[in-house]
Amino acid sequence: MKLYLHSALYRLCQRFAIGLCALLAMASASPSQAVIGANDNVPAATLLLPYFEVDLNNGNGPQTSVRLSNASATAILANVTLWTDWGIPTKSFLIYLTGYDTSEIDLRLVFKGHLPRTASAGQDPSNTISPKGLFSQDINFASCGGILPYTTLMPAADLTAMRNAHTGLASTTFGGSCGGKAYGDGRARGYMTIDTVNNCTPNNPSVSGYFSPGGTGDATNQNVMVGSYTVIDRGQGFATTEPLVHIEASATNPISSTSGEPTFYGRHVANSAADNREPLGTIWNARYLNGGTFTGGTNFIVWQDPGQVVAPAVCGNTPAPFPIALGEVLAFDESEQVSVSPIIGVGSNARPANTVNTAFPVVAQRVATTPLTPFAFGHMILNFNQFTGQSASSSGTIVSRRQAFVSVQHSATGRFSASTGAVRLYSADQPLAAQLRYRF
Amino acid sequence: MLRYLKSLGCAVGFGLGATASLVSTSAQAVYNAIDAVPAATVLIPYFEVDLANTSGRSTLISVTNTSATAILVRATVWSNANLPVYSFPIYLTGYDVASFNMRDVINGVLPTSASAGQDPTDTLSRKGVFSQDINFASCSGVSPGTSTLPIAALAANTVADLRAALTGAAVPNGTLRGISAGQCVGMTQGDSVARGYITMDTVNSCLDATPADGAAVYFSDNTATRQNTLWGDYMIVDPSRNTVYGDLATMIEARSFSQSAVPGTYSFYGRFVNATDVDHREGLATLWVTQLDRDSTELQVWRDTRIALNPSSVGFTCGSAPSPQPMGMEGAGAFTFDSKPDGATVGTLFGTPIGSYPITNAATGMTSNGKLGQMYISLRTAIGGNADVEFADPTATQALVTSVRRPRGGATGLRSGAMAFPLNHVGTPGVINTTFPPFPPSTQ
Repeated sequence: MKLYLHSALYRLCQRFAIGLCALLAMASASPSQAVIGANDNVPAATLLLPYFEVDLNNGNGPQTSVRLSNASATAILANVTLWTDWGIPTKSFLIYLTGYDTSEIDLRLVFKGHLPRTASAGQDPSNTISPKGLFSQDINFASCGGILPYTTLMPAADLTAMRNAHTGLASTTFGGSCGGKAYGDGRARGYMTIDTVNNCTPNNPSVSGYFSPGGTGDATNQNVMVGSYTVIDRGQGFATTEPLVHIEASATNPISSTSGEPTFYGRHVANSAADNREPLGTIWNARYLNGGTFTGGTNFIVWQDPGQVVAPAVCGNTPAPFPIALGEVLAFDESEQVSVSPIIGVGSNARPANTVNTAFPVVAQRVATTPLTPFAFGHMILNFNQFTGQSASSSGTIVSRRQAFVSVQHSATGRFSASTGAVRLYSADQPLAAQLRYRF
Repeated sequence: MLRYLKSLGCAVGFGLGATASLVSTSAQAVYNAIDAVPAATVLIPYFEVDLANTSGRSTLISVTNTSATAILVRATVWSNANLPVYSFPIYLTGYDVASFNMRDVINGVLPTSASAGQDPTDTLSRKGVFSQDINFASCSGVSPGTSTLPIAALAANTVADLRAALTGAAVPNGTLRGISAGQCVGMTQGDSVARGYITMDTVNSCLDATPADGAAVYFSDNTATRQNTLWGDYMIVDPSRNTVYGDLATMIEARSFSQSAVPGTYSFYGRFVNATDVDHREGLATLWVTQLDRDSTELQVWRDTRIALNPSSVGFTCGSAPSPQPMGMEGAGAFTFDSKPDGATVGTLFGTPIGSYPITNAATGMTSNGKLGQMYISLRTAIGGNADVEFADPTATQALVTSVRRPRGGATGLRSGAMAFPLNHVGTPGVINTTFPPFPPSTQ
């Protein structure tokens, strides 16, 4: 095992200078064993920022930044992809990380055209752009010649296209069509994925060949990245930091390598499991606090798989499969009274289906919880699986597992905010028949 | 059920429900992974309550039952020396949530709950239409050595002992189990802030016991159960400074009944079951990596002491440090954004088992001025002594690390926190047998 080798090399090299000893030991160090199918934050091959907001017009509005670290001595290349809140990719860029390197992705700067400046050894012969530390590998990705480092601002037209794409406006990225929901508030929205890759590819996860089983496409299966993101809203006095969603890869674990079974990028690989990425949860449980000190209430940050490749639409229209219908919502108060949706005639406190079922209409969003519950405090069970046959007298049947990720933000208006996360109750890798229905 | 945020003001809503069949959850548990799923033990790894300032910081805690089945929980409050201070039961009907302010707990007002037998009119722990409500007869207090639900407010002398115990002062009255008057059970930080951590275990009775009561009483499926149905969260709120940060609790799953204990395995409560693994709880990690910023990050650290305890004698002489403090560590070091290493030289950087530690050059012995990217921390350490419980790796010492940061460029009041990233797991054979290489001094 690599970690035993790490120890053996270390003891062997203790005869030499400590620096060399440490160098060799660190170079052979292996990150934590990946537990495929667990909702754990350990070094991974793909990181998901489930939702971002960037106020393009107000520096004191919500801003999102990501900190990406390489938890191994081996140099890696990371492909960052921005997606609209409809799940359509808009922009990819590359980040080179030497061993144990860290890079910051400030989306405020990205949406001003500034991309993180890194370079592999071949593009950085003087080791000044991506300096190599004592324990760090620094190698040349020849394919990055002429690409890295990013030295100029994005071309103005490209920048405008990207900003429009993420604010729900017509964008040349989509041939003049729209690729996201238009809120009309000047805030760029969407989500981000980061994958380990083996070349300075121009591709993104939606492109055929980006994934190939065993990490032999552009994307590799190197479980070495850790990351977190911070959302700051200085106008409100809010700051929250959360780990990114760490999505591990394995070419051998059945959960992430069985054709026909859900994987994270399944919709982009025809559900062939070629991406080798573990899937996320399907049923989640989260707290809400809509009152008391938390005058701003609780928002849920929700990323969900749309279940299909999404195409841009003529602006003003909404493409399939939106709005996505949520399978079930059970809102409990702190006395276990419950409001259930879709409506099954549970009484005056139940919410009509046409407001609750489409509470999370797109792939990535931040949603206030007050419309989802008649209660001020409690917890909710959110079932993202897709149902058929639901009615006032029938819970229906789950016909499709649908993965999602939920995070929780509580806030006191103008004072503070905190994120506490949600808990996964069921995973997309559990069989269809095992997925739970709660209404009956 | 409970009124949330009593000391901060709240309202509780209620609604009508239709008749429906009971449905229980049975989510998939992945053993030996630190993951956010329902579990049999919930760890709140750190709390603070400023007892000198009623408007100052306190810790809000919630625990949720994800199943339709009624659950009994044993909450144990531990000192920052990782010693048991007090425990109490919480009854949860199906899908129930209990939330409480640690300030109230330390002031003697414990969460109100009662099982069906103690709550015949269903007014204390209300039962929803999907929720089971059953009777735990042991909670009626008819047998000696059992807690009674609903819990009465603590007597004034017990409150005084509790406040002293958690601030590292001498307990005045000796009302807490195993702590004589004049003894300490926590480490003083020179202020009036109560510190410690909390565990919450699923149990089958109101027996007045804690995990420190070991295999014969609490574990081996005697009192503690293996119901993976709980999850929790916590927030450390300071209304006077408008700061708050929060995180999910750490959910520690129990193994299924189809699997047997493996003696020698490092389990979460291993020190109380003499490394026999009969607590059936997955352990944590010894090696962590966290992202952080120099001078604006505190690391909250929870460390296992690996010391077996006699629950009838946990207090120690004030002014001394109970074994194994100060706790050593294998090593720690950071990498800057330029991948330059900067080694910490303070061997007892996290010497008190439960604490919040500022990451500054002065505190850590690091020397560079470069912007920090990530910090590696190996908390393995030899402990020794007759009471030391050792596992397959005699220096394995599980821990949990949370990074609390003040965002760069943010106002003073901004705080955010998130658990660090584990790089190994004590329950995975062989993985923890690593040697953490020494970090050289910074060259920047």
